[in-house]
Amino acid sequence: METIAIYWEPVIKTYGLEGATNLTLVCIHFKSERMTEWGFWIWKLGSSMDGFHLVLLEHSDPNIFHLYLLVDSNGAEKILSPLDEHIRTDTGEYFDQIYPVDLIYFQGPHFGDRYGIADSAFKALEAHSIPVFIAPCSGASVYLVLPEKKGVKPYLYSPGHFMTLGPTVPKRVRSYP
Amino acid sequence: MSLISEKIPVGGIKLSNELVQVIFLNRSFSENFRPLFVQVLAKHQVNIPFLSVSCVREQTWGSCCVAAEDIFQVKKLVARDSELKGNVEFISDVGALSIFPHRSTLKLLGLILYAVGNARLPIYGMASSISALTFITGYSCLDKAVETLLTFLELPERHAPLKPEIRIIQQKR
Repeated sequence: METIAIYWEPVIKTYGLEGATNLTLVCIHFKSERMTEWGFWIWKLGSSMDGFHLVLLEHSDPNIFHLYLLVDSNGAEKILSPLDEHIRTDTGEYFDQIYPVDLIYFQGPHFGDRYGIADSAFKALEAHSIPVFIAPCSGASVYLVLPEKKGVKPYLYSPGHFMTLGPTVPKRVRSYP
Repeated sequence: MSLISEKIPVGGIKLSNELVQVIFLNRSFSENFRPLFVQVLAKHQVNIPFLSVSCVREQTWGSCCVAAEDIFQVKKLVARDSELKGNVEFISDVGALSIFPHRSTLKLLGLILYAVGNARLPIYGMASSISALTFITGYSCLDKAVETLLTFLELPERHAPLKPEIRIIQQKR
């Protein structure tokens, strides 16, 4: 069944901007044939470590995956220390970390079914030369990991880009200032 | 024999319609991080249900998914844009599988990677949203992916994976 919708609006309404600070972006680059081993390792890590703020998995070619995990900086050692033992640098695997970084995210009505949402966010940041480390957008959510203390809220909400529609959706992460 | 015997309770599984993944090659990014392709799709009112971009230590990667119905238009847009032509690649017949809620737990992430790797299912990307962990696999593999994951996930009683029943078409403005 098909349904026709008109979602376009001159300024995109969101349910509000959320975020967190003092985070570490852990980047693990691993071989695809080790997917099962990495899965098991991360599963085991889950017993001793707090959760993630964000996950992104990409592949640059069919044999290499890039896994980005955004975690609280004060708990990052729990993942970074054992990584040294698990990573197989002889096969080209490596890991990296970027800290401190900030996270901002927002969602809005039917974002997953509308064109132009992510591009509007990128455009707003690009206009102020604010770089983005990673940006996963799925469902109705837009996530942006940025250098620390960029205070991007005014830029995203500058005239012509985004505005808040209503109350924010409760989430475990802290509010962005 | 599986190394993981634990089952993780989840609220549900959602499957997408058929999608096409578009991989951005390095030259398809504007001066900093903004993919040119995303700009072109926005300009021509094409929706992107899944997008991932990374720009870390001078290495830039990215991809997105578009509806299979949009791919003819998308390929036309790419063909007539000199900067995009030759700088994007397509993987057709893919689909998204979302598991919710993820509760920000590494156990669920590890379990998905373990199960998918063990079953030798293709995985073309993964991203978390506020409540769901979504990964991209072959469209024809979605049923097998569900079957594989249900070895490790516990759905609520009488819950079947949600399949899309309507397709939203945006009226051009």
